[in-house]
Amino acid sequence: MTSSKVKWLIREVDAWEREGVVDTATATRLRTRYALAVANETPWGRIIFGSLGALLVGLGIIALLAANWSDLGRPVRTIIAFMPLCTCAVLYVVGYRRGWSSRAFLEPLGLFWGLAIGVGVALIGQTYHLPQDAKAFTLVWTLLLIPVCYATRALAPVAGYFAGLLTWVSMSQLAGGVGLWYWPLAAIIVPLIYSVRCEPNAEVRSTWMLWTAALCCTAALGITLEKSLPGLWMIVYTGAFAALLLGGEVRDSDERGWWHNPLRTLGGGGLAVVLYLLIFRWPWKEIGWNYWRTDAFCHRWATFFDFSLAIALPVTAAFLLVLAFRRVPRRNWHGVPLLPAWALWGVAPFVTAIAYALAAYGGNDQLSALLMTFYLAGLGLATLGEGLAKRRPGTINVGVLVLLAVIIGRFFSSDASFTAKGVVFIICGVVFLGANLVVSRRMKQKGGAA
Amino acid sequence: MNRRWLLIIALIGLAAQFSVMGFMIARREMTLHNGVVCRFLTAPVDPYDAFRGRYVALNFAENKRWLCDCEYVRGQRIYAVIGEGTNGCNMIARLTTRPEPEEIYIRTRVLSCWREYRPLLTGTNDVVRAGRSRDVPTGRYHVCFAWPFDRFYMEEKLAPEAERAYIDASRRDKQEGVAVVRVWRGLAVIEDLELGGRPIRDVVRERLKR
Repeated sequence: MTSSKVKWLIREVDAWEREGVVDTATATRLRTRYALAVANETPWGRIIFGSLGALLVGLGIIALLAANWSDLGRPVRTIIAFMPLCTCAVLYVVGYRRGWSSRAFLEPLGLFWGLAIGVGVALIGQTYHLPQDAKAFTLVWTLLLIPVCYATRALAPVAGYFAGLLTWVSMSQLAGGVGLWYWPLAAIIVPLIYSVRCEPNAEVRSTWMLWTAALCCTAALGITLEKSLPGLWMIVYTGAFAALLLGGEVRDSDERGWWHNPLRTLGGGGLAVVLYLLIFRWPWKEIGWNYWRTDAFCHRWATFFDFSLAIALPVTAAFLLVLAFRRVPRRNWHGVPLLPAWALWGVAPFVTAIAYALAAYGGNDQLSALLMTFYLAGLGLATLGEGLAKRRPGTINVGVLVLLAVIIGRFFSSDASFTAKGVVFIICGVVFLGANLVVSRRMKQKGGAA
Repeated sequence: MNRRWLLIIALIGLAAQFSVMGFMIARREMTLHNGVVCRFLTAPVDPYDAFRGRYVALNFAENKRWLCDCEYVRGQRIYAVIGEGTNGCNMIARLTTRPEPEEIYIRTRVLSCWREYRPLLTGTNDVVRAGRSRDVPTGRYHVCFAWPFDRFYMEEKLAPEAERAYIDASRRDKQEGVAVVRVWRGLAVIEDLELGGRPIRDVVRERLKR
């Protein structure tokens, strides 16, 4: 609870005490409890300003050293290269001995420590005229961030670690290399994120960490795929997003806000985007074994990664689907068992696999696009229905948005005349506005949130 | 996590960070102390690195593309054996995967390798006259490799002036830029950059004083 809410609550407790709603002893107990909560609250102002200070100092040092003081000579420059790192070591040890465990100390320290490593390595490169090798520089810097992440448990080094890994793997793939090392290296930080998520008073930090990790890993998935079999990315990506969505549903099904459940939000959002792309015909053209890629930059042995993911991710999604399904209470509508909307979203990799088989072996891209169109429209309707049943305006809007996107997307890509398109859009708009009005009135009558 | 464990992780991390940086420095210091001096003709131009500042990029007269009898895989470790040139400078004598111990060599990696083809005129006299031919492999391969020294860092004011000094010198009396490199056990470290036999820093400082 934020300090402003606690202050409001304490004012209310005072009023309750005056009005005799609670006795003095209960009021005192409540005040003590919430005074403790305020004392334990994360000092965000200090963290942000402290981190900004550390960032500016670090960038200032980089700019100063980039000026290249060649008069200083190699020994002096070597000492200077180690100085920022030594400062971090001294600060950490002093902080440990004095018991400074506040985030306001550790967050800026983590940021400055991360920059200190980059400064040191860059200055050595400058002193000894190391060749241009941004890939090696990024990898060394990123790997040396691992202990900083664990020692400070701060957000900045974790975000820097994932950003660094993503940069390195992008450069590696662009140079024709294989980026599979990304995954074991990313896995090194997973225990840290898990342990921070279990910490009390670390909800915001752990959510940011999870968002960073999930976003970087989603981007890295596309980069690290060898892409030898054209079109396999569709099954891999729908599998990955479905696994994220269902994982979020299993892990944090009680978390209501979209921000507090990154896995569910990213999985759902990503799935919607990928499925939307698949309603068009272009992704289904020239895919399958007949178009196997064999150029100089293709590493045959690395294709096992693509195939493993194409099998493992849908299997994981199926496993999570069963797990999540067993946890939700059964609901019926006039005797017909109702499935939760996320369960329908979760089967996306299997529907995509069927469409892929149709396009790859039957050579029918029209049929695959049509199948995905009906599937996505069905998802939109199911989400809309669930939103109406549970009286959740957010879910209703998502359902409407998906349906609208399908109609607009398919209709725009069709050869129909502009007059026909215009008329259909107006009708759709009127229907949706009318439906929204009816739903709002019903919700107001039944006391739901409109 | 226990605070003591955090301290242990921090200390191990600091040790690793100091070791990596120390190792980078130690290898290059050993090369500068024990290495053999090699000189390569080069043309300096002035670019910029966001982290390491201004430097002069070295465009070596020595070709980065080499013709070999065997095929190499992209990214393969190879050694460029250094030989004596005719003008007092050094040159790359050959590429090999296993250098002799007494040779001076630079460790590098293959950037790309492709077959060499030559046109073979075939068919009837009319076809040959028409200039139609087909390409046949010669059995040799073009190998492109990475130079382990391609930039010389300078102060931000000196680097652009260094480029101008080189252009003036090469235009006026055809003085050439020379990169003085120390080579030791496959590692090459640039010691200095010379223009007309003098360190380029001195040449540039003189120009700036004028």
